[in-house]
Amino acid sequence: MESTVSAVADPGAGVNPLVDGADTPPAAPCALVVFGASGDLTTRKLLPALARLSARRELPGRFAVVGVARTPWTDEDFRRVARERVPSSDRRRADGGDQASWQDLLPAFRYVSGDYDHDETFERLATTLDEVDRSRGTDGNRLYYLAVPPAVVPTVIGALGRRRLNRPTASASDAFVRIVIEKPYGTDLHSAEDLDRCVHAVFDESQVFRIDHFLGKETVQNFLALRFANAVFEPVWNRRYVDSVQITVAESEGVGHRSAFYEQTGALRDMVQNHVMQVLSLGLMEPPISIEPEGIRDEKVKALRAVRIPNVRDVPEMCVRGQYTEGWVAGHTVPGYVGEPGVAPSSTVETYVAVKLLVDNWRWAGVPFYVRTGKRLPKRVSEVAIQFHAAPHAPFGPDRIGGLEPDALVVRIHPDEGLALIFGTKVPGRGFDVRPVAMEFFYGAAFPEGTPDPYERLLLDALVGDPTLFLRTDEVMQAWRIVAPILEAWAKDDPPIAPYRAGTWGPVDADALVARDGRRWRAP
Amino acid sequence: MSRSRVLGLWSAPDADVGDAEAAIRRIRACDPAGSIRNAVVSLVTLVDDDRRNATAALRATGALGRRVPGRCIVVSTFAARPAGMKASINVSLVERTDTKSVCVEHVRLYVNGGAIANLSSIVEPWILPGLPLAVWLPGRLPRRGEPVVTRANQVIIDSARIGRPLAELDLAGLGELGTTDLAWIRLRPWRLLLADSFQGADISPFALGVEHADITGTRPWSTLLAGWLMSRLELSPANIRLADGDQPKVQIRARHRDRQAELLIEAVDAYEVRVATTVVGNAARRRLVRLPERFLVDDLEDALRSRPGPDATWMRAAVSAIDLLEHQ
Repeated sequence: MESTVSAVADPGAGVNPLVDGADTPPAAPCALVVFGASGDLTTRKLLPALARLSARRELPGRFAVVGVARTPWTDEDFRRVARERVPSSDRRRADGGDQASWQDLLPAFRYVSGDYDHDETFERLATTLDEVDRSRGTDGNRLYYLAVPPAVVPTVIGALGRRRLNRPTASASDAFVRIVIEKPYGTDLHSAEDLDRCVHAVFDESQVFRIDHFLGKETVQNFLALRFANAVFEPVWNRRYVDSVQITVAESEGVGHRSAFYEQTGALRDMVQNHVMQVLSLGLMEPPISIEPEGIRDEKVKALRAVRIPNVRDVPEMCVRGQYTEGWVAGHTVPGYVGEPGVAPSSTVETYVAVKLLVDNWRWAGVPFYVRTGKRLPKRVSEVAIQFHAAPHAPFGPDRIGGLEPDALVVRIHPDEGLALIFGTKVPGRGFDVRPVAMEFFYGAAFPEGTPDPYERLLLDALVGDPTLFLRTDEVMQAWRIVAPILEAWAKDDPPIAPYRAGTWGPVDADALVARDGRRWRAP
Repeated sequence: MSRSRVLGLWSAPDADVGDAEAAIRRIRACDPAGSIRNAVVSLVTLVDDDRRNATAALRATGALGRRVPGRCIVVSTFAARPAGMKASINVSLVERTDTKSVCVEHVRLYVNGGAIANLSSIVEPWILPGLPLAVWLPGRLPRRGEPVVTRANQVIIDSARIGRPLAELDLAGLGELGTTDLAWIRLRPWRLLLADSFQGADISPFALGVEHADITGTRPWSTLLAGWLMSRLELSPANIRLADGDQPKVQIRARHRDRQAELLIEAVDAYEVRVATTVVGNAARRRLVRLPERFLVDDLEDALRSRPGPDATWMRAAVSAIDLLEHQ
């Protein structure tokens, strides 16, 4: 039986003593509104994440999913897609066997079809949300998720504002309307500022959850635990002991079906401005006073503000851009970037970036941070390697330490999430030969069932209103400021794009970038 | 997904730990993946001479390795047998498709006769160094000053299986030990359901005005749940009525100003629960919620993953449950 609940304003609302003290407090009633509901992100990421949250009973009892998209679907079509496209393994815990909870949730799915630039679409959305509030008891609480192309974001936000869907309908103190905005957040500093003005014309900053799924990865979050829960690392986490840091985000795939997006974006905007800057800020930041959201975000922003913004004229010296040509990856011949479907033959979009960043603060002065990211590299790997200074003196003699590199701590983000400490050890036997060995920790082996998908974690955080793992506007803008001179130089074709053969670690110019400092790239 | 494959077995009477460790190394060396242990805990299970507890504990800890890698040590003691001990070891490889395979070790210790008096010295060498130690007592509470227990970072009990209700004296000792109660963990789905049922602008104000709660179920499930409601909602024993029954049911009557609300959560069967909330004057809101099937290993996994240290919410619930029993 469908029943009716009226959200009555009440000063006592929001006080639930049964929630206090719970190890995982349930989220408040809410309608999740997904714009771009028929799109790839929704079916590939959001629906499976919802299914897993449902299987673990982490969604509120009073919950609804309202899909909005141009595709002319009905409620039933949306439910069918949700039923069919979520793999059965995503509907259950490995130890539980539970597909029923996902089936139980499907009646709470609604669908609104229409163009985003038609106000009638939002009229119908408002009507649907009113109906959902009555039938599902969602209390007027909304979580909007913009899984739409960047160009559509201002249109949707403007329409939400015009239709007054940007504020809670209930007057209870804990009623909420939040909005999750996917990357890319703008295409450069100016467009990001424009977008921010558009967002803030409709939503307060406290309502805005800018998502970067890298922050949902357990190993990225583990950076905080590694640094601030252990006394052993922090004393050496500075210029006195660290020689340099290398951040690698490598993909073996090409652009695939994302060529239209990639032609507008490139590696710098797609990876460096967001994912890499997030990892960088977690590595650079000072210890926060507490694990509270603003405490962490304040420190991240401070860290990014310390990153030296390069001069446009220095860009050729500290940055390399490349584009893959035909080659071999994992035993298969692959086309060059300009041979990919949908890519202009004359395209100069970069598929590879290597950049040297410097940080102007007491902790990191003089320590270079080498960042590289690219497509069609030999393998898919993301890692942060902290390279320590070499021992000041080797009493064993140079012939005894052949192949010994300075110690390194490698934080592996993907694959085999974990840590490796690389150090020298004596080879057994007579003499005193020293060789490098790796002491490894595999996150998945220590916590086999405990690693939620990034979207699962971030979706739940947005539902409960925890912004810690979302980007604040000043973080995003500072990240754009850091890459802005690079974009400006590239617009003048300086330096020109360097080709690299698919299946290699990038252009030779990238090797020269670190070789100029007497260093070389690690083999991840 | 994962599957376990036994790499090797080893056993010996009056086993020397050094021999056992050497045997473990030999077995692990048989397979390249055996080099990775990545243990996060040592779990010592003291089953005394209770064969039923031993069987259940062996089954649960055997399945635990693929979820919480570590060394599980199940200890049986037989006072009437001649003094001595025997150890047997099972080294398994948990093979996974999504991450590295990992090696786990399952140790079974039989300690007999006078050796029981020195149990701590027998168990201690088997504990993995530098990692948290959890001690699980499947059928009893820890004894005062019990050496293996006092050394533990976490003590896991099951207050539903100690044969009597918890007493205040028990809680004083358990609070110091950083205890996790499996009975409390089994209550979690019901606690979440109750908390979730009071979520919502129309219903949440009633959480502060609960007048009466009827709780049906088997004891001590119902008493611990009642204790939790009492401690969270500031109810007195007079506000609670316990009834015995196989199908769990919680019925709550609440008032906020001049309005009344009722909340009913009742098990339809072992896996399905009916939830109904009614604010008088509004239509009832009803839904069916499926509960996941749970086994002892699930409870144990959740216990080992729970936050370390005393659980103040459980402690307050247990104190209130004792208060309730005294007034019933």
